[in-house]
Amino acid sequence: MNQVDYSKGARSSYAGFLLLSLVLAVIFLIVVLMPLEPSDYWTYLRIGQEIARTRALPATEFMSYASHGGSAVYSYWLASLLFLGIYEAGGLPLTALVMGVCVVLFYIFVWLSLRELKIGPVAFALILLVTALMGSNNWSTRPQVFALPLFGLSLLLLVRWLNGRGRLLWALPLAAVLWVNLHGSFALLYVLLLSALIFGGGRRKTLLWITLLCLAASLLNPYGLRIWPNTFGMIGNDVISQFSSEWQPPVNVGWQMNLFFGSFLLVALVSAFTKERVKLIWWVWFIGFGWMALSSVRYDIWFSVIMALLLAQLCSPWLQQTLDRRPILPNRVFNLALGILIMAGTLVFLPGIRQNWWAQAPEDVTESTPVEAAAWLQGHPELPDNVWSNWVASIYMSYAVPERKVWMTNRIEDYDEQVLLDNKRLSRAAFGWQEILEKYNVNTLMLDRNYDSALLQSALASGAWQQVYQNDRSVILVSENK
Amino acid sequence: MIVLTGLVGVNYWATRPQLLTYPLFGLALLILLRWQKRDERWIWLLPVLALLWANLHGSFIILFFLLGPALLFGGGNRKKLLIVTLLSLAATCINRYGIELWKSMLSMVNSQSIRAFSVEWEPPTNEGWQANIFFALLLLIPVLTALLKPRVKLLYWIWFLGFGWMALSTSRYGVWFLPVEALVLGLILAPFFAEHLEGKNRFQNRAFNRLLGILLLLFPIALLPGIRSTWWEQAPPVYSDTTPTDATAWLEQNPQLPDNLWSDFAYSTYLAWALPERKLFMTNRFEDFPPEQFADNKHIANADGDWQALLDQYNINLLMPSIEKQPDLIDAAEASPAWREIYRDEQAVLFARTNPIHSEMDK
Repeated sequence: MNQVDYSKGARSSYAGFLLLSLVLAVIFLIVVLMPLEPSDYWTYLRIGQEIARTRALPATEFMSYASHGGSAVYSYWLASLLFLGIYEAGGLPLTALVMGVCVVLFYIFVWLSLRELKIGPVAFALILLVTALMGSNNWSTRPQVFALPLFGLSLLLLVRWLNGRGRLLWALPLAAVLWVNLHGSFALLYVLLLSALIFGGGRRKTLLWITLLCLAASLLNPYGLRIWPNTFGMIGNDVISQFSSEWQPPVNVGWQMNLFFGSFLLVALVSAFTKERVKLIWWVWFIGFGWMALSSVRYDIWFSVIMALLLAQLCSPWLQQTLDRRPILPNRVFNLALGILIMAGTLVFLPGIRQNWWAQAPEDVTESTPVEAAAWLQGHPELPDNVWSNWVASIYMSYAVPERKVWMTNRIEDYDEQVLLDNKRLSRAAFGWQEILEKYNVNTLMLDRNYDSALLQSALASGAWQQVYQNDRSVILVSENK
Repeated sequence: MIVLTGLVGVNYWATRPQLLTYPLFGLALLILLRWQKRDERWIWLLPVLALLWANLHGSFIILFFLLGPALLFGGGNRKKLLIVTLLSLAATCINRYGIELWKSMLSMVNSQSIRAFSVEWEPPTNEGWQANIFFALLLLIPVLTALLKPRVKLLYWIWFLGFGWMALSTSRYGVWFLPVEALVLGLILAPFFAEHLEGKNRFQNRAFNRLLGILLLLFPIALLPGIRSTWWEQAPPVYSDTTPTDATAWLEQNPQLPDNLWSDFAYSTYLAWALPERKLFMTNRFEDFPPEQFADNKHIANADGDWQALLDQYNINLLMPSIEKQPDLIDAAEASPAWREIYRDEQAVLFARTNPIHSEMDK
């Protein structure tokens, strides 16, 4: 392969740095401008609080009445403590900043991997942008975001190992310890390692030792070896697959998914016409991560990176002849200054800061987060338990009103299928909704006018519920029989 | 290749108008493959195919998805193919609605009701073994292409991209993608097959081969409905269990029961033919109904909070829910004094309104 090593030239003119900072700025802006989705966040703050308060991991479900007391595994304990620490130190602005940094770090590692593959600065900026956009559905504030840089780092180290430079691989056991205590996606490290061990072209003996060390490192967690069956149990859990949208297979709807599905067709076409030969391990990763991504939306982000690196290699001669034929942006000082300025400038878009200068700035949290209604409920402890609110609202309530047990949290694995079925029936006010509420001793309803309109109408029409609070989005009703 | 892609295509074999067009697609593809190899004799058949196709099913536009790329990227005589394409376009206008057929077909593609409520218009997901094979092939084709470096003509890749995108966007288009996928996969694997599977002298007994081939082709005739039950005790039933034959026959014998009738969606399509004297809530012609009516249908079927109000709104006096699909509605109707059960079998239940309501027209 006759290629120019762009890494040196790009470093000298900082053209690559400027282009990278532009792309990273776009990524960071998207992350911090998205109002915080409650669905995978507030429950972790509550778990963090509980761990900090008791200085121990809870052994049972303690937040909800629909599954109270059932045994539970809190494998994301470190992510929970981190979220709590960040929130208590700097609220939502610091949380958004940390999330933005994690996502940006992930793509910096992808960028470094592209440099390892000798991709030019314009091409890598473009590839990085498209890859990031493809994965942008997975950037919401949640424990998985902590795992993104760890995946990026692991991939980079393996790419370097494939290129004959495996020195830094010894950092992987450390990444494994962190990862296993942060998020269940730690298993991906072993997917990368084992496939590299079998199909990779670097020094396998070193990699074998690293893999064994990483396996040992995965046991350094409060649950020890049990973490593995617990993780596989979640992957194979039919209830999770059925009721959690992120565990369902992707569908070709929306531009991010268009990019995702389009890439499968594109890679076939490119592989037919390119003269580039790509190492077998890339195709093994393509099949492995591709199958995972086609089976569950939550794996798309990992696959997007594999796909980007594969396509970049297949297209490298064309990219070199078109996008990176000539050096661009030769002014080193200008590039460096502008790059730093662009990245620093994104900080003013953080929640809590943007509202100071931007009249129509996006809200800090999504509209579905019942902030005011939860505060009102907290101010009225005389209202009877149990409180039923929809899934999203319950997740917020689990942290915001900890003195009340909530209906359920985002930890689907803690609930019987019947609870999830009942939840669905309640949300659409299916026949027998009153009996379901009675079954769970629900005496207060906190309803979202948009999501729970059927239940709201039915409750009001039944005459058995009295409205005690309302705002633009939420309504609180109390049972007349209580 | 045929077995593999055929297995993926099992889901597309239900009895419906589209089925009549499969041979037309297959023939069009074959004609264009021959044209690609400079055998242009058969391309003049394409306008006849277009005429037939336009009068059979809305998928006639697929013919032009084959012809368009062939015109741009094909290797045969493009001038002749252009004339054939124009003639085929003209042929599609020879139908009861003339050029309006095109507008109608395009409005179906964009119909909100179809997009929102028709399962076959939804994008495919990797669930079930057929879909597993479909998506696995999508992963396998680039890998095989990269490793085997086959010579596949650009036209076939363009078809692969076009029909592939259609198949990934809407489940119902998968059936057109499969033959193209089989073609591309066959070309990719041809050298491998030639080396390992073909060329060996197997099955040399000519008479035996002929006889066995004919027998194999004839055997499925014995499996036809009406014939299989004469020799096969546990033969599959002619109708699926979603066809309420007994309940419909009973309803036919009770014309005194007041309209309107609400029934399970699948039941409605059977009732449209079996009980023409009764107007139905809806049929499978999604484009004829507004999205709101489909949403209402869903609420009624699930016995959601407003089910009774919706039945009142549509002046429904008869309910025919499916025991399997609408258990909530059956429970709700049983519990409601407004309804009384008048018929039940293993599939369906019939409820009549205790005090029938009458539309303005009835009054």
